[in-house]
Amino acid sequence: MPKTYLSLDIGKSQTQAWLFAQRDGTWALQGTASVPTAIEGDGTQFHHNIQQLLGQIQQRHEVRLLDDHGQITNIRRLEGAPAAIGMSLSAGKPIRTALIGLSEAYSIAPLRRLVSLFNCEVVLEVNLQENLNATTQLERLLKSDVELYVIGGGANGGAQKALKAAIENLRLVYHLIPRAVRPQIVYCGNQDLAEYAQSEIEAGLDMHLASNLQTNPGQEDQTLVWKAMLAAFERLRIQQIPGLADIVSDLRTRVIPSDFSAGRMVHFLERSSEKGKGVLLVRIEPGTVSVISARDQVLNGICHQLEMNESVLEIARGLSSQVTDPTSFATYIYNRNLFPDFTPATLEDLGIEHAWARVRIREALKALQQLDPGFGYSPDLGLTRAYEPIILSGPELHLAAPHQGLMIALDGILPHGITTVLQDEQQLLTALGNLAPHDPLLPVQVMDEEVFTNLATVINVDTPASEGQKVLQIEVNEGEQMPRLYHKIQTGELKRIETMANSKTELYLAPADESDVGMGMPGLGGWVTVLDSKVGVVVDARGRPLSLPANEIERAETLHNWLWELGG
Amino acid sequence: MNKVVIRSGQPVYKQVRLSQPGTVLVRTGQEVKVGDVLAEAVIPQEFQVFDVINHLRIPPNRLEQHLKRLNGEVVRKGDVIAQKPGLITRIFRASQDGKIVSLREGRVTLAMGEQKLQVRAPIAGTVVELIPGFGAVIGLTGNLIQGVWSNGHNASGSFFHLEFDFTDPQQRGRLPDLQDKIVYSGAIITPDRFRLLMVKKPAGIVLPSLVPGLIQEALNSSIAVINLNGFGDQEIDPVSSKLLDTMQDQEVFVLSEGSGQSAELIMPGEGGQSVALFDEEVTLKVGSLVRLLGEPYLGSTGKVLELPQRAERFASALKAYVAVVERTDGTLIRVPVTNLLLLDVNFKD
Repeated sequence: MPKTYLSLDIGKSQTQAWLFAQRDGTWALQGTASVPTAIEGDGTQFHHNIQQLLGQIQQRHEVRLLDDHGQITNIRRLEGAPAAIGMSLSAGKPIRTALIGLSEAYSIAPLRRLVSLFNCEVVLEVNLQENLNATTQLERLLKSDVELYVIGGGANGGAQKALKAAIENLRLVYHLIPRAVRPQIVYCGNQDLAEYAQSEIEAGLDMHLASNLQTNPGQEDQTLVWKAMLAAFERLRIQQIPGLADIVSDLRTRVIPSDFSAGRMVHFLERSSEKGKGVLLVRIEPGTVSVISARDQVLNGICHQLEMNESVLEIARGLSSQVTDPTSFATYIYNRNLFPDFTPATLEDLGIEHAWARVRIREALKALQQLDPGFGYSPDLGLTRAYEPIILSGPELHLAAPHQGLMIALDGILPHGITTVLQDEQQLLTALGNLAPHDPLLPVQVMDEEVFTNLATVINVDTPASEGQKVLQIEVNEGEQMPRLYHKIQTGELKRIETMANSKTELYLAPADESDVGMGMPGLGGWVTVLDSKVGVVVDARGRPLSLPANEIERAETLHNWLWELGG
Repeated sequence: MNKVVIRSGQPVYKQVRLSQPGTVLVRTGQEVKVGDVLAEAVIPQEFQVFDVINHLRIPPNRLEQHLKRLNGEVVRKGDVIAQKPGLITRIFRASQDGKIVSLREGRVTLAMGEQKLQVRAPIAGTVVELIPGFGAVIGLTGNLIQGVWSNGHNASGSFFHLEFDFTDPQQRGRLPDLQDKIVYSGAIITPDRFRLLMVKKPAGIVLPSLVPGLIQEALNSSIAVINLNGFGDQEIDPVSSKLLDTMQDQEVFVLSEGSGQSAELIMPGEGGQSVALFDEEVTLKVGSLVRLLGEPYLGSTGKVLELPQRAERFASALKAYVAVVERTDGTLIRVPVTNLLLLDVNFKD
């Protein structure tokens, strides 16, 4: 039997498994399977579904995951079992989190960035500089029904009084109010108070100490706190999801947040890239959009749930390639929310679906910009900083053909310059992120096999030129045997150029004087070599912000024409 | 597979639990009435933190001689907790009855008053299971219609099928008395009509569907609202309609799973546990009754005639496994299986 690793992801609607095997020293994906996620109830259904999932993998592949009676058992006792199992989880309500810090800029904002990769919803922020009296602070802590407290702030050796008072209040909160789920406490502030916090709060295994998140004034290193956050996450989820503890114990694994797991790989891709650009992952799931960015070796992410209201629905309706009246549009979206597995069967349904995805992506990017001011997104101008590749992922993208998925991403993200858009169709980033600590070679070798679908190379033209003016000329070299092709691009145009199958295509970009194609300055062009991709090279000269007709019929027609240009 | 139960004589189990550990006040087998307390937790009503060192201006090393009470001691309103004598004596007294819960670093924390968190039975029935420390499960048998959305409120009252023509100017202002009733209306309820109903102070409103423009208003309302099918303009299905007819003038309950969550409309019935308790799980198969979730058939029902094993391509170009459904008007349609809501029924139309 070959050496194998198994990765499991308990997603919001589906629980997925991936089996990787090593043959001749090289790791490759062997197979996947999925079952519906069932975390409600007493754990019986959850256990049953995981068992069914393992059974599917065992039946189809050379690996042992269940005992002779088809039951989940201690995996170490099984001959032929995977060498290790990784597990991630995005199912379940976000963790209600309180952030306690000494100042907005130096502790609360970094804490927000820290917790956002761990499926947390910040329900309370206590800024100790606001000088709340101790009674008010205690009342706030008690009334917020918090599951995770994260305390940061203070330079090592710095002032202690306010932090000490907050620690004392936390001790009371932890011990005075009985809870169904024991809250977890992560301490990542002034290290002089770490031991004091531990002995004062007396929370045993519910207390997680980490190094100071703030390494120097104004500088943070989230990686120092990840271990503590992971431990707190696991302890909370094990209490909240009946049956999870047994699964984790039998499979000899740990459970980590899905976004964190995917973030590991995004972080890895950025570090191993030689382009000097960031790497961006956009994962569209039922109800949420996760955006994870790695730039300058810093990882940030957010899992964003868009609140539905009339205004946001109207914005989305304006981005549909079909003309739909407001009531029908809203009806579809609200019903879709009730039944997340719904398949858009008609063109109108699909138009609504894709328009809604565009808005969800925009709002998620906006939320990440608020969290990380250096991210580089503006609602009007789009993603102004350079990210390559941009990776699209998530089950919702299965509701779009490649050119439709690309169109959703282009309109949602509005990138600048030249970038590559990939699709992680099998959600491998999460799968690999779960296993990376077990064998760092595994993700490297699996990703070397071009497991991501290359959707397109996108060339965006930033130009002040008015509609209809020529802004870019492109010469296409498909090889010495082929005639050179020339394309003229005008402002407002979206153009698709097909790439050569299984081969490289060279393009010479000659922008007009004031047009910027991301080569360093306006007017500067040059040769670009692109790989074969599903959609091809997409030249986007539509401008930022997108200029759409006010008339809704003309607007839908414009959107439809753009989609048609990319493939129908 | 999405599913709703629409059944008569159906065993219904309702879990009622505290959000934090407390004491369960009922026992298994006990009959409970609506409003009976099933479990309660007692927590302090409020806290007071007093910084003795700073407020009384006491040197930290002399703190102990100024403290008059110890940690854990029960105090009465007016009791002196710390005192600094002098020309002007400074005193910290308990403002209410309570207990000293912490005395550290010169800070005294008092827990004062008592607050009872209680969970009550939302429906009459028998306690069939205890959830130690948290609550109980109430069991009963009755006619049950599950709705897919509610505004989070529970309610009970006499069921009233409102057959009122909102479009008839002659009937304007002549809505019957609806106070404390659970009102069902099959008419399209616009915001104006919704407000007209609200003025009549019903205990709850049951609708086949809710127009999107009313969602926020329904969520803000203190009156229970349950929506059986979903959003838009959907008609009631014949099975639910027939079961609703059996509820006229009977006491019914609306039990919600939470704001924006599903809910159940229950009419408690006669008899004990039904054999349905041991029914096998209902799954989609040929002959299943289903409700259609997508346009142009939104809300209509039909029977599954065929479940082909191959995925088919739709107008949207997406491929999906399908069901061949015969609608109640006799038309045959092919629908993605994901766009069906299975109706778990035992009540034939």
